[in-house]
Amino acid sequence: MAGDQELWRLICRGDAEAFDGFYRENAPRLQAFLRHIVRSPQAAEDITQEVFTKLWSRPNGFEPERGTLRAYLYGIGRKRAAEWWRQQSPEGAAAETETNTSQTETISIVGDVFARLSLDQRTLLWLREVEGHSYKELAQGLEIPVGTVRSRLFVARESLRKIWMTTRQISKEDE
Amino acid sequence: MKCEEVAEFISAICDGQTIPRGSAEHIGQCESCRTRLGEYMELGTELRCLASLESIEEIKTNRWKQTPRTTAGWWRKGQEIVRIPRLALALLLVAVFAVGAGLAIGSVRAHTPGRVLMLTAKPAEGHTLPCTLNVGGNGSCRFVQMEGAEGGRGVYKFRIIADDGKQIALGIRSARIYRHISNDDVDELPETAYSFTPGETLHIDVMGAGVMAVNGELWDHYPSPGEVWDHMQSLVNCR
Repeated sequence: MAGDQELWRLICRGDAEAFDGFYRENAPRLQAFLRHIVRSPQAAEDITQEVFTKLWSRPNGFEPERGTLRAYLYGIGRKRAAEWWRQQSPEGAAAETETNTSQTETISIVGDVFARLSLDQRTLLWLREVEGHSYKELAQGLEIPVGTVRSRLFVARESLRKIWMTTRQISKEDE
Repeated sequence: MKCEEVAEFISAICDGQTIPRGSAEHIGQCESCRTRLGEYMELGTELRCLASLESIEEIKTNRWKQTPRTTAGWWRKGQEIVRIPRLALALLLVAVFAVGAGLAIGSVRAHTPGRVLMLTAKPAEGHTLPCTLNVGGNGSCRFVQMEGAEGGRGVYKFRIIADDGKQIALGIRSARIYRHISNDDVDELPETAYSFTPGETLHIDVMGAGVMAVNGELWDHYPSPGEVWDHMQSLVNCR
């Protein structure tokens, strides 16, 4: 992408104005994505800041010919979120899940269902359905072959559908 | 055709992908498959609604602004802004440098982090790869190139094995791989040790990918991204 290439060149040269524009355009959406991945608003904010700080202080690793800057950015966010998740104690992660499940229930039942998917499945579905990433971008950000994206999306959708149907069934029985 | 055989294609339809004709015909005629398609699409819509309902908060902090950035970019900006004759500017700078030289030398010596090898590797195909290695450190650079015209990706890893003050023993792993590559693949490649003299060009036969030219210079400090960029540009301009 020519736009990405030019933007990356400016970032590498230390153009603060260009980086600020990039930050303002992408940070809120990245943070919203991370909130659903790590299920902790504070951690999502911290990771977002960390990703951009790292990108600003040491911009390297992005190859314009391999994909988009957006996919690269979300790829870094995803990796950092996975690291954060691994560092959490099982008790801490469970408590975090419980807290946020009750919050999302007030918005939509699908939020609760979505939170029960694995981290990888949440990442894949959010980037595809909400952020509208292409298969190529997903492959770049998740570091998997393009051919694998389709099958993993299917597994994620099917998992979501099954949990959703079970949850709806339980809700109906409660009524 | 069974419903389970086309299930993955139902998901693919949601993403606007084209699917085999037989599968499309089955989905069109099968009540169960069409229900599943509807449910997938409904869930996608619900997720987008969830994202829309949650207000995307104004980002409160932007700590990146507090992160120090190197001066290379500002120097260039200054050059563009300052409209005085270049000779006068150069003389002024020389004068300032001369006055402050004594203090500056002391200061630089006190803070020099050591020697840094600035490598640039030009594979037979693809872009030049920049690699900065601290001499005496145990760092490494790893590259995976984009897929070439004839398929396959070039993978490279550089590290410093030893240094005797004049020559550097470089450990290089390199190959062209025609399958999906993971990070572990790079480490599993055999490492070859080369005796490298900074300022000279080392030619390396990369397994399945022709000859790669490796150049390198010793720097007295770790280069900023701007300096790396300038260095790369100067190499391009020299060719």
